[in-house]
Amino acid sequence: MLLGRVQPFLKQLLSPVILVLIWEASVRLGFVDSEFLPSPGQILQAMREMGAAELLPELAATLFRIAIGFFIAAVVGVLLGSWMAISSRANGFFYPILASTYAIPKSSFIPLFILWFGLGFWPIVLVVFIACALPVVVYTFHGISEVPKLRVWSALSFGVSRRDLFWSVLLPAAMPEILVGMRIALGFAFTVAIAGEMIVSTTGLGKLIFSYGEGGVYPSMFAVICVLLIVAYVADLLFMAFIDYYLRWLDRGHSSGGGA
Amino acid sequence: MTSDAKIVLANVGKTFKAAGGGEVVAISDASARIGQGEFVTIVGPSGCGKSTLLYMIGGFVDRTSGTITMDARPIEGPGVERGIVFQEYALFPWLTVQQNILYPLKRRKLSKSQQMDEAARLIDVIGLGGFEHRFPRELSGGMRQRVAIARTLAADPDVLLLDEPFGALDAQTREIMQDELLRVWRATSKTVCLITHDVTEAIYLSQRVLIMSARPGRIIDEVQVNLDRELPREECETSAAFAEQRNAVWLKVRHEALAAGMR
Amino acid sequence: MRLSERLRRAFAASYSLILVCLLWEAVAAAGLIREVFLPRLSVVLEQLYAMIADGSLAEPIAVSVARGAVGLALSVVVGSILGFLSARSRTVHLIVSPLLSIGQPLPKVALIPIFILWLGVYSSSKIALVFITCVFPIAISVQAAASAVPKVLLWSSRSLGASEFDVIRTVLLPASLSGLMSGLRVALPLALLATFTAEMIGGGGGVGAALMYSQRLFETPTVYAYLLVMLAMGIVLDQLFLRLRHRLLSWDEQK
Repeated sequence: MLLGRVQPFLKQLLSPVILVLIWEASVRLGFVDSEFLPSPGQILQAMREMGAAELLPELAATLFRIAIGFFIAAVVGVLLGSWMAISSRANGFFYPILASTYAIPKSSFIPLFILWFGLGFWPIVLVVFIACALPVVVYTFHGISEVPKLRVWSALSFGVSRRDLFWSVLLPAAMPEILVGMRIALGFAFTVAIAGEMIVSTTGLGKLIFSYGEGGVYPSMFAVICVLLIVAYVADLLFMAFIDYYLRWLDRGHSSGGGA
Repeated sequence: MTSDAKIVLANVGKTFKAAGGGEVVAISDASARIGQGEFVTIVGPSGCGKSTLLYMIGGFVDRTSGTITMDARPIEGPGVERGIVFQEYALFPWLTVQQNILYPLKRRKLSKSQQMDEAARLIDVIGLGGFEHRFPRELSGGMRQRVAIARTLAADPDVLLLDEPFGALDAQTREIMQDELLRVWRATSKTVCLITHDVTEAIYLSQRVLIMSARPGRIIDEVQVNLDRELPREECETSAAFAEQRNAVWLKVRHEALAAGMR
Repeated sequence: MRLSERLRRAFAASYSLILVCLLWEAVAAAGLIREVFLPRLSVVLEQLYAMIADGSLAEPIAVSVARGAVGLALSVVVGSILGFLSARSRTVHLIVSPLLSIGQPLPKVALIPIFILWLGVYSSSKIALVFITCVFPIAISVQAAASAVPKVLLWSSRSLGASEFDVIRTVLLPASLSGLMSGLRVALPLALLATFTAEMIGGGGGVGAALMYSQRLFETPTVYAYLLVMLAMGIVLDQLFLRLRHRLLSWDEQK
């Protein structure tokens, strides 16, 4: 009975666990040169040796930049996307500008921002911002445009002002779409922040990875990469859990949140 | 009746722009009056524009020509005095039953405790006590419509507009809801205008039935319903008077539907 | 549509871009921002033209495109097979699906140092990054499309006398192709992005490396010129994809 509930979870874990075991075995048995691919055991050892003292400040720096860039992008993105959905003039104005930035890889702005702001905090935060803003704008635009007309009319029949309509009806109704866009943006945030830190930075996990790589200390390099991947995965998991809780009202059988 | 007229439609017309260019005349020259406290139904063949007419009374759709007035003042847009209940997709799915009903209450000038009391009373009226904290997705179709009606009542409108409110419900629930609506109407003396394609429903519920022609829609006839409302439902619906009036209306609607088909 | 009408429409659709360009030129020309940060648009365009004219643009573009294409092609092959098999076989699904859902949200860019360690600084490591970046969306899309084929459709074809092979060929493959297209739609820009990012971080030729190089030398107009090149490449790619999809999928109602 308990097994029934745990079973899907175990199914998910089976494959990765087996992979790790095969990995460990291959290195131990000499199929894989541990110079090029340390075993999971060696990586864990390196992690222990680095310890919290070394990892935590860098991790905090990276996460801080991601958080700031992401949150500003989320706010700006939702406001801009909403405005574009409500006003066709705003849409006509901003759409070409946004469409043209779509094709440029946002990481490419890193060298430009280094030019403008030097090394450190700002280039990374800004590039995270522009990487995250676009998906949030697009999904917000979509979400707000697709609010069922009858729902809006119901609110209007209660005599709401336009402002009230936006905050109490349009925004909550668009939340499922907006949160999907934010989840995608979070993924971009990690990618772009790490890329930036590898190119540029004086602190952060990306820089740590890069310097271990340059210095040829490979187990430590792998260890930091693993930490990063785990943190990114957990962040995504947490965000999904947050979405599930926030959207517990959503009727997933229908796309627009159920009838009536 | 003239001095009692709550809502007056005079020569109302509505023309839409069609997708490929050109125009569609949905409604042409529709006129009617709805008296204060009256329960009126509008029936007509599918696509005749009755929903559009209702939306214009509600102020959600602009008229192309003619006037619509309420209490002798022209209708310019949606307003709290005209509450509307749609067939579906009207409740806010992110709010619980109680929060949905509180929504219009919060926007009236009421104190917090007054709001909560009124919400509780309405939930009681619709018989959903115990479901206050459920989300719409957890409710059946009939329950959702009850919440929708309660929510519209919470705004305390003078006029209730209903667009085929029971169309998506199964037969039994529909009958229960019809009696609910009648009960609410008798208790509150609001003016009600209901749209339906179900002629039996129209005869059962309303005092007067307006018949709309096929597109372009006009109000071509009206029938005063004379029934002994004291009778219980089963007897009322099986009485000769009921059948006669129902058939009269039904034939007229059918005539319009066929005429539309032949065009 | 007459030319003047066309021009008018084009202008209305993009007047904000034109405004931005004019603003750029004006602000830079007025010296409000230092030239090393924001050179004039005209200067950037001149530099771009010079780079095209003397052929110095040709090699980086060719290198980047080649890397992106090879990596993408590999990911299409592997991803489609994995996705398809994962939809058809429960065993494969058990093994592959968890790996796909774990890998999808991970920032693959973190693997660049590993690929450089294994494959060196030139094309192979870039191709590896493109591959690992693009294989996930493609596999996931194909898997979703192939498993979403309504059972009713499958049963109908069987009852019409189709063999197992026929069913695969006439029903599942087209459905998977549609999934591949939607996966490609995501993967195509990702391929370009991954190539440029790998080049910016690891060097070794290509547009990304050229961009970094000119930044290190503080040759700002060249930096902007390369950004415009990237933009142009992205647009061209997008257009090519739309045409490809139109030709392959004209039967597919879902746009």
